[in-house]
Amino acid sequence: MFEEAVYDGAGNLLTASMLDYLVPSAAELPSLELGTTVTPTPVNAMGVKGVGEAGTIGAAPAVMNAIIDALTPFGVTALDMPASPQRIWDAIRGASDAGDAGDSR
Amino acid sequence: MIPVGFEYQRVGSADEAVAALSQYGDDAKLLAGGMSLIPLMKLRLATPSVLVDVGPARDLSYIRDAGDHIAIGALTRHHDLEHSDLLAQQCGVLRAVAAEVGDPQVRHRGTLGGSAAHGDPASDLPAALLALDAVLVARGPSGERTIGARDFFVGFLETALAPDELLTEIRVPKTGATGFNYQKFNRRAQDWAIVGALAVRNGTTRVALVNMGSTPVRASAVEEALASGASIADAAEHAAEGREPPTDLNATPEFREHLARVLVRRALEAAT
Repeated sequence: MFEEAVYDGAGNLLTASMLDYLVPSAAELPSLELGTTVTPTPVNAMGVKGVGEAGTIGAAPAVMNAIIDALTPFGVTALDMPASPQRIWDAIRGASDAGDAGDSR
Repeated sequence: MIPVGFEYQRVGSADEAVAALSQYGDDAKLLAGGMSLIPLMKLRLATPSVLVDVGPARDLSYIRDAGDHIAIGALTRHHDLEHSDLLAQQCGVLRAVAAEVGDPQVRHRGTLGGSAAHGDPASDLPAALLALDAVLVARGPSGERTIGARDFFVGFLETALAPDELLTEIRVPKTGATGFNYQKFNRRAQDWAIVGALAVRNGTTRVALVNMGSTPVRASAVEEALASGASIADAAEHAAEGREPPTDLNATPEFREHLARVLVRRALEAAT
């Protein structure tokens, strides 16, 4: 919903500062519910395995799917990240414009 | 991110500041809290050769009951506005808008006079001064003069202040503790408003807009519609009339016009 690397036509990065590259702060975060799952690997004695960012991969599609679901009544079926206010407004208007055009055909 | 070289001079009073400005002329810039000027200097968008630091002039930091208005020293910090009981009772809207500026660190450094003199259309407080029809007091080599808020903000980052003038005091009317609402739309809490709408209802209704042009602006068409009996919903539809909002990474002019209409309606509905 926030961070985006935006380039101009000449290849200059426009979001090169902390002012423009929107890292969310504590005030923008929802409250989190934490859960754990325990699935030991059978192939070593301690049952341990590397995880890296595996647990975070699902968060972005979950958020985007929730936003697209909320926009379903407007006919929106897809949305590029990040879901900025401008992009959501454009999607709602674009979808309703497309709907009107379809009706008139 | 490193400014060009400059001379630095500290002054202890308003008169010393005026003397320094007279001496250096166009080459000098006044430094108050530095929350706007320093970033501009680091980006080299501002390159003053002399920085006159009025920070030590604490005689310009006060909030006083002056009878028919509240008088605020130009160097009063946003934090002091935010926590003033006098302001909360007599001009609650200015206290509330000051609390919306930046984050606590910015509010502990930034000053009301600095924000006004910077004249950024995306800042919260200049729009509040415009909605309140505040009176700004400027001191120059030939003495003091007063400037109405409507005449003060003349262009993008440009005010009616002459290069040798110092803003010393801001006078706001006693509009009471309630009767206002500020709608600030942004993506992160500490950012500037993408669009802001401030409604002050005190007998008449006044509406000011943030980031909808090259200066803070009054939504005159909304005010006129309300005065002639239009409903809030109908009046708010006029919010973007005659405005030329900017375009940036956050919003197109069309989106800003939409936001202005929505935010003005919300502000008017909530301003009780």
